Amino acid sequence: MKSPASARPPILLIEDTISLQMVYRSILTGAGYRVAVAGTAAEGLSQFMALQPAIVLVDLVLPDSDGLQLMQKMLEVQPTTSIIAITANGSVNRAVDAMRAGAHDFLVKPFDEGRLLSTVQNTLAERRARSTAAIVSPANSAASLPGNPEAPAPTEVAGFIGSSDQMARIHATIGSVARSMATVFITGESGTGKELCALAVHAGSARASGPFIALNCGAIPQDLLESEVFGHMKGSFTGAISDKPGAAAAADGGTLFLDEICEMAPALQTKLLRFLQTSTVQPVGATRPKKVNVRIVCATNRDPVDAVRRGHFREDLYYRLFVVPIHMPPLRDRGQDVIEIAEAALLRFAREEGREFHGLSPEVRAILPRLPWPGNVRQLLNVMRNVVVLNPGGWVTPEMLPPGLVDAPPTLTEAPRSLQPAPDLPSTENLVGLTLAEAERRLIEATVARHGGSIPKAARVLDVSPSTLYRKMEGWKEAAG
Amino acid sequence: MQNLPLPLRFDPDRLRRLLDLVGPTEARTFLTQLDRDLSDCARSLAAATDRQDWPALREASHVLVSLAGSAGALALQSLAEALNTAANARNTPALADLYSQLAPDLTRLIAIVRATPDPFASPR
Repeated sequence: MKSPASARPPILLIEDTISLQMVYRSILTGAGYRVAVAGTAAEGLSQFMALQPAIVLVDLVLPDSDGLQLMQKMLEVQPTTSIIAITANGSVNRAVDAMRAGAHDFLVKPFDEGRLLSTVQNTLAERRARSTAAIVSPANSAASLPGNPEAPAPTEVAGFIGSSDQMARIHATIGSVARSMATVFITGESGTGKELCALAVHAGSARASGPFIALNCGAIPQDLLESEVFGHMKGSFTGAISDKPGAAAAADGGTLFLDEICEMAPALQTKLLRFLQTSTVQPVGATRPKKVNVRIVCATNRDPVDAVRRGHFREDLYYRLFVVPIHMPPLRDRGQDVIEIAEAALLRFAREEGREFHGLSPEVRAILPRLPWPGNVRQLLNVMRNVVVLNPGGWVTPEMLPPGLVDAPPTLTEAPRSLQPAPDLPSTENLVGLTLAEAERRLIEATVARHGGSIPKAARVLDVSPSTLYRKMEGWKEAAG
Repeated sequence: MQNLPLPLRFDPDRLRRLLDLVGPTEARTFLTQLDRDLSDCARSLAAATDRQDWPALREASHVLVSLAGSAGALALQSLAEALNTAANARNTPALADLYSQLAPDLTRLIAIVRATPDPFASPR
């Protein structure tokens, strides 16, 4: 049974093509919503001021003004408004701009009534969840979200430590984007904290009480990945001894984090695109799709544009996913954050190991920011764990640091890319002129050779999963015919 | 209507579905308005192509993508998308070629819309 229209929050529809306006209005009123319509930006703004609607559907191409500017004006007046940007197929970049400017979601014309209604319903569900969370738990309210100017300015937010300008910008972006449905695309070297960033987005969203499901697309064999993402039905293939929901269904009402997204096989990319377009999943062997409400956050340590250019990653999927990019900077570029992270880690590990450490000595405080940290935060944490485990306590001095970390003075001020290579690894100079993929291949082959052909050992050194290396090698064989 | 040439890759169910959605009270008005919107689009595209007015081409092709796709003229939708891309890139050679393919299909769609009866009207 439909609720009476008066009980539903008002929706403002700003669409200048009148025949389409009629169709959209009919769909929404037919579903029981109260709808106000406008055909121009001026009329839309006037209606917005008068009605203060919870949701605004706005076409990004309007005759008297740019829809994006109108959207920004409305958000300035009422930042909690949920704006759904409408654009036409072929102009998806505009929708991406709108999401970056604070739109909650977007619709690509032509769309059917199912898509329109599910987008509006999901938006309303998010708003309800947000207001409930604010009432039940003030600590989870918007005021305490990272990046919110009203909140205290801790250097540690949602697991992140660091007060550098780069991290402040990341906190601000997370604070802005967390409450929307926008897909977040996190890039950064291995060990920079991409999963922590994804967790922070989840923790700051209205979905914080829902599940956070992380899936490493590079660590799961490709033939199992579809079943891992979308699930399977009992008996659908050998070994499917029971129904399995899959990560997308398990993340219903929460966030699905797809790490190493660029490693996903092309066939599965197509299925992921379909999932993003329809919000439905169809487990392997199932006859019917199932609707799920999932926010996607993905990450890669590769250059996604390069992956698109090389045909490894679908361009349309890239545009669907690359809505709000967040780049996690390498530790070597984060200045004094190194000290903050090291001290926090020292405290935590000392507590866990039952040791009494006073802190970092001035010498160590001077050394740490000058190191190249090729393994980034992950490497720094390992160093601090090593210090705590192998020493009884007191001040952390240079002698306590692991051997090899600081005993090569010429490299201290250099980034890892300029470190002198080992004799059997390709030198930087020899790599100049190669494509990134060719240079990557040289490095992988040399690393595998250095470790006696052991893929797992090479993978450990390269900080990737063995399956990533196997897959790359298979790709080279296929390319060679 | 049966004798009219159809737009390429035309899906008549889409137009029927739009009429169902707007319902009996607005179906006639909707058909009139759709005819008007498509005709405005045709005029704008002709004038903008003639003058190579790129912003106007962007706007008109943007509208046509939505209208053609919603009304089931799938080939016309694809051509409008290509025209929108060409307008964004200010691609003069592509413009003339795309417009020459698009214009007759748009004319066919307008003719179909004009000939579509109000499905809710009582038979005389």
